[in-house]
Amino acid sequence: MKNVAKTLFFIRNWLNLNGKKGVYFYAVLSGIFAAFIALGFQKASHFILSVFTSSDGKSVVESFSQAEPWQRITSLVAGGIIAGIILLFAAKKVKKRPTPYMEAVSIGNGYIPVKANLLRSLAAIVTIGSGASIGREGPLVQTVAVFASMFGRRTNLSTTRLRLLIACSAAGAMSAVFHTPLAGGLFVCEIVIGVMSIDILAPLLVSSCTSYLVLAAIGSSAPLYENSYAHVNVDFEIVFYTILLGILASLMARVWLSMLAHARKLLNRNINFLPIRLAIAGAIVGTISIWFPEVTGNGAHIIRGIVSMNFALDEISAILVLKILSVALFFGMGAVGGVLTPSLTIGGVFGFFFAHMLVYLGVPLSENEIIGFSVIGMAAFFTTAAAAPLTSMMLVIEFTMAGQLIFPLIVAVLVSHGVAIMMRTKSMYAQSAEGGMRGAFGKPLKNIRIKDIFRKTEDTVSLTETFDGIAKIFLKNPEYAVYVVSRSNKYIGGILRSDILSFIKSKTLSSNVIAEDIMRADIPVLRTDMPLIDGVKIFAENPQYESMPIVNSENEFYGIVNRNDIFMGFNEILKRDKLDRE
Amino acid sequence: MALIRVMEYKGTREQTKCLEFMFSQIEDSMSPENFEKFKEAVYMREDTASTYVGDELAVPHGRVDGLSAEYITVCLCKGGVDWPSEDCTAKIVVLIGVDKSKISTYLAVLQKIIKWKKNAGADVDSLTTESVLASFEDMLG
Repeated sequence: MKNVAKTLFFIRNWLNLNGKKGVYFYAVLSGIFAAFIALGFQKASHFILSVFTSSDGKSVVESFSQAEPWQRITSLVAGGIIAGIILLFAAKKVKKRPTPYMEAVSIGNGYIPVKANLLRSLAAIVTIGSGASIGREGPLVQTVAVFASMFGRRTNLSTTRLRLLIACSAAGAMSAVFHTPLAGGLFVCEIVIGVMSIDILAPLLVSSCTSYLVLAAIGSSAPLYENSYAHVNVDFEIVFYTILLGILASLMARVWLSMLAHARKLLNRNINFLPIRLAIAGAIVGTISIWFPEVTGNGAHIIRGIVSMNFALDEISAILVLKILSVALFFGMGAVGGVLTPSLTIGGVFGFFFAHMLVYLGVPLSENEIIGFSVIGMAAFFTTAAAAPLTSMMLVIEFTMAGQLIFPLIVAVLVSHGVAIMMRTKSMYAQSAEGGMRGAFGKPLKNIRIKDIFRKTEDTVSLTETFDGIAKIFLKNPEYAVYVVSRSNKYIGGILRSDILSFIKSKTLSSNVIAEDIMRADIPVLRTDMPLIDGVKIFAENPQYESMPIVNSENEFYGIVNRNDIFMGFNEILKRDKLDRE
Repeated sequence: MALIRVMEYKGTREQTKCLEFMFSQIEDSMSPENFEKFKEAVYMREDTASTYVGDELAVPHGRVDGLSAEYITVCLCKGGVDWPSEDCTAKIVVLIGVDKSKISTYLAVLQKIIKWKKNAGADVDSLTTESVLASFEDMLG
């Protein structure tokens, strides 16, 4: 890894890939890495599945259908125990907590601790491989992001570039998992970053398209749930039904999100019992799978069944209820996994029910129209679940290649999004995106405080930190100041790179100078409760500072605000605020 | 601009006595307000961590707002001064005073002093105030 990083670092410098050229260089690179890591992740979980179930099925459901009843239970129980032990070990033995990639991009400095996260990835591979009813996308994207963060730090990327590299790798991973080059980029832009601008979207799309291309070259890149015949006729009556579906899917998604939150609150308590909890979840779902193997896996099998009309209404009713319970059980018990595909599955089944209800009420719908409503339901449900109308729409279009659905999809996702806003539904990603600009976009400008757009930083030092230690931080992250804090985390001052730049590699000073010697106490300090507008003014009046510290009323160091963030965030919030007022 | 003074210290081995001796030599060249702030800054820095840099050299220093020049006061202590304890004996003490904002200047001065001591070798007894003044003026003047 170190040699690869060094070689790429050399290539970057040799080709003089600075500025925008450099961004696209990293986007292509992250796309290639993402595709290979995603494939590796999938192969690893599939290998575990074949070992646990002693079958050669292509999917989890297929393998479980082939396996003996006792194997279905033992696979899930064993998977739960092993994953639980790994997670318990990570929680007890690894100091740093696993930072989610969304947090690293939206409010962090791009640093994702390796050990804790890779252990979680390992636990996820075992959980998913054992057939648990949980999505693989979340841990897979996280794994790709860990490698991207590690690589970026090895090549001394600046914080801004590092965050972009992680964002690009996440887009590449999404594209590799779902075979969706456009939705992969949109997912990160809309959900993680929260700003839809071509400057940000372009590198994300370069990465997701590169990943897709690699996948096409070495594996299959066909649409996951292709049914290009799915459609609904566009007339006033159908638009009315589509609006109704959008409203109901949004409300249903709200119930689903609340169910997940309650499940986690009720079931995921003492970490010491994690292996037992996951084993219990495995035993329950394993037993259900003897009669309904469809409850295992992420739900992709169910979506495939719906878009090819393989399920009868009564059969799918039982599967839906059991699937919801299984996902909530694993999620609640603390399994590492995502709920993206399970959410799409539930949305799809809901749309399927809705279409059948219309048929029952006398609306004549063809088979392809029933599938069309299922796909619309999937998008509308996911719009509220993820607070991402554009991604939802493009995701289902790329899944099915049903371009004829574009008009009703627009109607349904907009309605669902509107209902979610009115109902103040918090998406499943709300917690990861909390803090940072992403969370501030929904508020009126006058209510936004500095603490709403802060970034966390681990680059703080004590008064006695040596010059060598400080220089290492600057070499790793040359853009921002290093802040000096006391043992009780009180802010003392800041060290500017410009002050020490010419001496940064000096061996003479390395142990003879400490933070106190080179610290400035006159760097403007922002307060957590300060209105955003006041922060903008302070940055405008002090153009020499790229970042400023934030402290709370007790003068405790809270984080930093970057010049780029504050101006970009202010601009975006201003636009939205203006729209609201108009 | 650097105001360089070189002197010899023949007092006790106590760190405070040596520092007070050096302060008394420069008191007249600073405003009383700056002088008090400077003294306080030097002692505070010494409280945080020792300024003994090895090779029988100590560089106590303070950064104070409003200093118009760099104050470099070199003291040859041939009898040795415990800095801060008997484990570290300083035979050359360089007291540095710089303006709070001039961090690069402080680092440049410190780097030159440490390099000078390395080149000057271990034999402090052979150094005279005149030769040290000439070296410092050549180096920092």
